[in-house]
Amino acid sequence: MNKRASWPPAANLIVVWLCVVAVLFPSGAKAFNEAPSLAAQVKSGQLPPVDKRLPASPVVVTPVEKPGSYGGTWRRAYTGLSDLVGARRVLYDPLVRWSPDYKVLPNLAHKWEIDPEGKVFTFHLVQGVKWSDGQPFTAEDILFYFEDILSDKELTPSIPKWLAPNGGLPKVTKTDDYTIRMEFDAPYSIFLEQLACPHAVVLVSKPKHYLKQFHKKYADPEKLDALVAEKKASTWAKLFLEMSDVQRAQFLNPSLPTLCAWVTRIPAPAKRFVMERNPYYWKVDTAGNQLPYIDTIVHDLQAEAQTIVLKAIAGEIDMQGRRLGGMQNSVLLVASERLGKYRLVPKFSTASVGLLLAPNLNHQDPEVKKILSDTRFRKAISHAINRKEINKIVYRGKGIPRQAAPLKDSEFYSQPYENAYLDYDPVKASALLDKMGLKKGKDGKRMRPDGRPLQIALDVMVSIQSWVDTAEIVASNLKGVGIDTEVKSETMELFRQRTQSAAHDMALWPGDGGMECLLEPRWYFPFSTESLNAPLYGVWFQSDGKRGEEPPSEMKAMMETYKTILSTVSEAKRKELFGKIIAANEGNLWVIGLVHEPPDYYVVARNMFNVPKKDFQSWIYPNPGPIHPEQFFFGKAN
Amino acid sequence: MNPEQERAEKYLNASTRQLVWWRYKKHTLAVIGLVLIGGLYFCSFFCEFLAPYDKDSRHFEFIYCAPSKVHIFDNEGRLRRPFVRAVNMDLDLVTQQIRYVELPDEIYPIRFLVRGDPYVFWGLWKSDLHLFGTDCPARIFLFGTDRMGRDMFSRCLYGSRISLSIGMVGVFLSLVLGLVLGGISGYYGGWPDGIIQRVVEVIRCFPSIPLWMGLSASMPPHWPALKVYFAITIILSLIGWTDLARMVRGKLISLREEEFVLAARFAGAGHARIIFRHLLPSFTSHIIVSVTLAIPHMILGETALSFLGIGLRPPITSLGVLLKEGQNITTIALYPWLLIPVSFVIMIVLAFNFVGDGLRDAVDPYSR
Amino acid sequence: MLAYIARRILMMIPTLIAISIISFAIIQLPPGDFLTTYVAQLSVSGEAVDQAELESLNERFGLDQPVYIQYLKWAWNFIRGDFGHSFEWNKPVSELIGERLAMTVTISTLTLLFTWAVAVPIGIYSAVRQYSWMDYFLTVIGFIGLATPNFLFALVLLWFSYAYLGMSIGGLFSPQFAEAPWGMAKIWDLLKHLWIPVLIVGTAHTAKFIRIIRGNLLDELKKPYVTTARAKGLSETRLILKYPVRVAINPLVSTIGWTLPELISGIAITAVVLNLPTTGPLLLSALLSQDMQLAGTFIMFLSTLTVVGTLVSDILLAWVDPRIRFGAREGL
Repeated sequence: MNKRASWPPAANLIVVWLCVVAVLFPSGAKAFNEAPSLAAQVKSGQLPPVDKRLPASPVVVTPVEKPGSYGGTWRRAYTGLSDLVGARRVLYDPLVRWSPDYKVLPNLAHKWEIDPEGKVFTFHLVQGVKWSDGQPFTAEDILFYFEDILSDKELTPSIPKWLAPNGGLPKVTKTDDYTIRMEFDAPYSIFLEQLACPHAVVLVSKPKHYLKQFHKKYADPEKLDALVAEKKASTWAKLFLEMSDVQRAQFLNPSLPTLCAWVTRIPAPAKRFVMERNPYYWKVDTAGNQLPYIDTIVHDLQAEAQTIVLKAIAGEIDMQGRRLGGMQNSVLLVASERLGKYRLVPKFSTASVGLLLAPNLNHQDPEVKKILSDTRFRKAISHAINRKEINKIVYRGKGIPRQAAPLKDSEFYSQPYENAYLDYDPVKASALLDKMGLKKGKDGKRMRPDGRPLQIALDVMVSIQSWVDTAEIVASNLKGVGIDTEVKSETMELFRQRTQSAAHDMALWPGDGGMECLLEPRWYFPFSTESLNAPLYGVWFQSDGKRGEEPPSEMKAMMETYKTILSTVSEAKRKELFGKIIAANEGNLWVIGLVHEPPDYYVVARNMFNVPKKDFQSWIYPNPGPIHPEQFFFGKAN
Repeated sequence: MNPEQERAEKYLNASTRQLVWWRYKKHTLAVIGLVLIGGLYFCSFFCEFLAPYDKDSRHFEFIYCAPSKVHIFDNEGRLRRPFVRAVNMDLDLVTQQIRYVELPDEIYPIRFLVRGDPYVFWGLWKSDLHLFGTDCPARIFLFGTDRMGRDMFSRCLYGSRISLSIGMVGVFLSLVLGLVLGGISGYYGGWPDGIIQRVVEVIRCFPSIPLWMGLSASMPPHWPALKVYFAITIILSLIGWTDLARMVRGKLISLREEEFVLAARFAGAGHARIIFRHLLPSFTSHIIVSVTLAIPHMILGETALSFLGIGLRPPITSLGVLLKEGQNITTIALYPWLLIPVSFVIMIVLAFNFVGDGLRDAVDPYSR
Repeated sequence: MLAYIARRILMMIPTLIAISIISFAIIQLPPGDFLTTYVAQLSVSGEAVDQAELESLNERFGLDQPVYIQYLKWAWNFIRGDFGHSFEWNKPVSELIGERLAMTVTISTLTLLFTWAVAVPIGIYSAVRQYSWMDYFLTVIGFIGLATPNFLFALVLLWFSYAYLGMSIGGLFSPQFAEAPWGMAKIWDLLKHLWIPVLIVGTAHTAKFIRIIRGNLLDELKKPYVTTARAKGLSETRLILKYPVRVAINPLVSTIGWTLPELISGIAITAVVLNLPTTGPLLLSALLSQDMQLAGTFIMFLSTLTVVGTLVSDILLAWVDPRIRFGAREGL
C-alpha cells in the first residue's frame, strides 16, 4: 500500500483550530506569578501550581500606582468581637461590587443580563474560582443559600426585606454551573445596587461542600448529633448558624472556606487575631501576579479605643480608619502627621449631614404631636439654630451647613432643598412660633395651646462627644427663641429603644443616605424604624400596612412613589419620581439638617503603596473594601 | 504665778473642745487642710460671683484657648495694675492646630466688681455682678477654655460645688444608715444583728463597680438632672455605710456592758435615751473622723462613675464630668490645661484626708 | 477555734447565694440585654441589622427565655463547674478567666509588695518623727496616689511613656516579644511595662497602710516596754525595728485576705486604659455589654474571693493575736 505518512485532513483541521485557539486565548499559556511563601509550598507539594489554583481568566485588578511586591504584615487594632466590622470591610468580595466612585462593577459575576421588564437577572460567574480550600465555587453555592438556608424556617425565621421587596423571594435557578438566574414577581430596579451592598455578601459566603455537614437535609443524622453535642449547640440550626453566620463566623471559624483575599489563621477574639493570604484567591494584577501582595493581616486586641489612637500616632498601625474617626481624633492625627510616622488619606462621609434633628411625628401626646407635625414649627426650629456656631465649635469651621438633602455628587442633588430655611434668623423663628399660637409665659418660655409649658427633650447618644456638644448648642439656640429644651444623653441601647418605639420628642442622628438615596431612604420618607422622625409609619411601610401607625395621605403618596421607583426600569424616570419626594421634603422639612461634616482619615504607613488619594465613608459602601485592599503593598518609604 | 504655772493652769482648766483644738493645731498639714476645705467650700458657695463667666457660656471664637497670661509690666517696662491682652485665633497651616496670638498693643486691665453674664444666685437672687473680669474684646481665661470655648476656671468652680455637695449629702445618708443599722445591730444583738451582719457582708463582698454600674444604668432616662444627682448620691452612699455600721456596732458592743449603761438602765432609762444620751456621745469623735474620711471616697466614687459614663452627665457639671471630658489622648497631648480639674480633686481629697487624720489624732485622749 | 471556722464557713453559703442572685439581678437591671447592646453597637457604625437576623440571633443566644430560667440554668451549671459561655468572646468563661488569672495574680502581688515597700518606711517615719516637715512631705506623697483618679493617671502615664520614653503602646509587651517564648529578655521587657500599673494601683493603697502602721506604731511607742528598753540603752533604730514595728505590721499580714480581692478589682479601671491582659477589663466590658454569664461568673468569683479572704484574714488575726481570741474586737 502506498500511504504517505502525513496528517489526515481531520488532524490538519484540528491543528489549525488549536493554533487559532492558542492565538485567540493566550491566557492558557500565560505564566502567573505567586507569592514566595506559596511558591515554597507548591515546591513541597502542599499546594497545586498557581495556574491550577487560579481560574482560567482570573479577574484583573488595575493597581492604583503600580504592580507591587509580595510580603509584609499589615498591622491593625481592634477592641473585641463587636469590632470585627472593621475586618469585614477589608474583605469585600460580593457578587458585584462598588467602584471607588460608587458605580456597580463586576466581581464574582463577570457579566449579567437584565430582561427589559427588570424582573429577571441572569448572572454569569467567573469560571474556575475556587474556595480557600481548593474546592470549586459554582452556582450550586448560591443556590444552596436560597434553597437550603433562606427557605428553611429554622435557619431563617424571617426573610430579609431587600431580597423580597414585594413579600416573596425571587425564583432562583441555575442554567449551568456558572450561570444563575433570579426572577422576581415585579420589576426590581435597584436589585443590582443592593447586590453590591455588604448585606448581599451573604449570597456568596455559603460553601455548600463544607456547610452541608451541619445541615439537617444533607448530613448523616448521627454525625450531626455528635457535632451538635461536641460544639455545645442546642439545635442543629444553632450549630449551623454559629459555623456560618456572616457577622462573625469567618473570623471565628478558621475552617470555614472563604472567597476573600485573606483567611483566618488565629481566630478572634485573640490578642493577636491573624489572617493570612488565601492561596486560591482568584484575582491578579495587570502583570499576572496573583493577589494579594500582603502576606498577613494582624489585629491587635486593645481594651480601650484611646490606645488605638495612640498606637496610630506612634506609627504602629499600617492602614486603618476604624476607631480613628471623629473630630477629636482627627485633630490629633493631623497635628502629629508631621512627625513622619504615617500619612493621612481622607474619607468623605456620604451622609447628607453629620447630624440632623428628627422631630417625632408619632408622638404619643396628641398636643405635642400636633405641634411637632406643624410645618411652621419645624421651619422655626431650622431658623433658630446657629449652624455657624455648631460648625465652628464641633467641626473647626470645616463643615458645610446644609439641610439633610442629597449630596452634590449624587444624581438626586437639589439645591433648593439643600438651602431651604438655612438662615440663622431667631426673629423669623420667633415670628413663626408666635403665629402658631405658642405664647411666651412670664419666664420667657413658650406654652402649649392648652396652657401647659412646652418642654422638648432632645435625645442623643452619650458615647460620641461631638454629638452631645451639638445637642447642647441646639438646645441653647432653641431656648433662645423660648422653647424650653433639655438634652437627654443616653446609652445607645436606651437611645435605640426610645427612639424606635416613638417615645421621644426629638432625636439627633446622622443623615444617612446622602449619596445612596434609593438604597438608604430613611430620611426621605418613613422607611423603617430607623426613620426616627416617624418610626411607626416606618413599621407600617415595612409590614405593608399590617402593623404600625397609618401615615397621612402625603406620606402614603411618597411610599407609593418609592415602591414605583423600585419597579421602574428607566433611570431617568426614577430620577423624576424621586425628585417628587425631594420636593415634598423641601416643602415640609420633616427633618432638620445641621452641618455636613469634614472628612475623617485613614492612617496609612509611609511604606504602604497603592492606596488611593481619597475614599468614601459609608456603611453601604464598605470602605476600604471598594478600593481593593488586595493590591496594597509594602515598599520602600520615600 | 510664773509662766509655767500659768500654762499648767490653763491646761487643767481647758474644756475638751479647747484641748482638742490645741492638739489639732500641732498637725500642720491638718490645719492647712482645714483652711483649704474652708476656702473651697466658700468658693463653691459663691461660685456665681467668683467666676468671671457662666459655666455654659460658649465663646466660640476662643475654643481650646490656653490660659490667659496676666501681665504687670507693659511694653515700656512700667509697672501697671494687672492686665491681659486681646488674642487672635490663628490656624497653623502645617499642623492644622489652633493658635492664639496676643495682640501686642492694647491693654485690658483686670477690673473688679464687673457686670458680666447674668445668673440667679442659688436660684434666689438675680444678679450679674462678678468679682473680676475684663473688657471686651479681651477675655480672662485663667485656666483656658475647652472645646466649646467655655471658661475652665468658672467650670472648675461650679464643678467643685456639685462634687463637694455630693460628698456631703452622700456622706450624710451613709451616716444615717450606718448609725441606725449599726446601732440596732450593736445594741440589740441577737437575730437583728445576725441579719444586718449578713447584709453588710454581702454588700462588702460585692465588687463596687458592678454594683454602681447596675444601679445607675437602671435609672429611668427621663429623670431630670436633679433627680439623677440625688440618685447618684444615694447609690454612692449605699456602699459607704457598711464601714460606719461596723464601727458603730463594734463600739456599741464594747460599751453596752459598761457600768454606766447598767446604771442608767436601773434608773429606768428607756433604750432610746440610753442610746442617744449615753452611748453615742462616747464615740461621736470617732464618727466625725469616719465621716470626714468618707467624703473623699464619695468624691472619688463620683469621678469613677463619670469615667465609666454612668455617673453625672452634661449639662450637670461636676469635677467627674470635667475629668471625663479630658479623658482622651488628644487632650493630654494638645490641650493639657483641660486636666486642671484633677488638681482640684487631688486638693479636695488630700485636704479631707489630712483633716480626718488630724481630727483622729486630736480626739484620741491618750496621745501625747 | 475549729468550731469558729466551721461556723463561719457555714454562714458563707447563704451569703454567696444572696450575692449570686444580686449579681444576676444587677446585670439585668439596665434595659435591654446582650443582643440589644450588640445591635446598638452595630447601628452606631451605620449598620442596620435586619429584623430577620435579629430574631435568629435572639434564638441563638437563648435570650428569649425569661430571666429566672437563665439564672437557674447558670447557677446550676456554676455549681457543677461549668461556668457558662460568653456571648461577647464566644468562648467558655473558664477559659477566658483562666488565661488572664496568672497575669492578674502577678500584677496584684507585685503591687502589694510595692505598696508595703512604700507604706512601711513612710509609716514608721511618720510615727517616729510626728509633725516634722519630712513627715508631712512623705505623707503627701503617700496620699497623692489615693487622691488621683486612676484612669486619668493611667492615660497620662501612657502618654508620658510614649512621648518621653518611646515605649510601645497598649499591652504588657513590646511587639517583638509578644509571641516569643519566655526568657530573661522577655521578663525584662515585661517589667519595663509593668511599672506603670504597679505604680498607679500601688500608690492608691499606700495611704491606707500608712495610716494603719502609723496609728499602731504610735500606740506601741507609748508602751512601758519601749521606755524600759530605751532606758536600758538600746539604740533607737534597733529598738523601734525590733519590737514595735513588728507588732504594727501585724495587721498588714493578717489583712492580706481582703486586700488581694480589692487589688484585683482595683486594677480594673487602670487595666482598661493600659490594655493589660488581666481580668478587670474583661469584667468591665462584660458588664457594659450585658454578657450575662461572663459577668455573673466573674462577680461570683470576685465575691467568693472576698468572702474567703475575709475568713482567712479573720482566722489569721485570731490566731496571731490572742487578745482577739479572748476579748472584744475593734474594727480596723
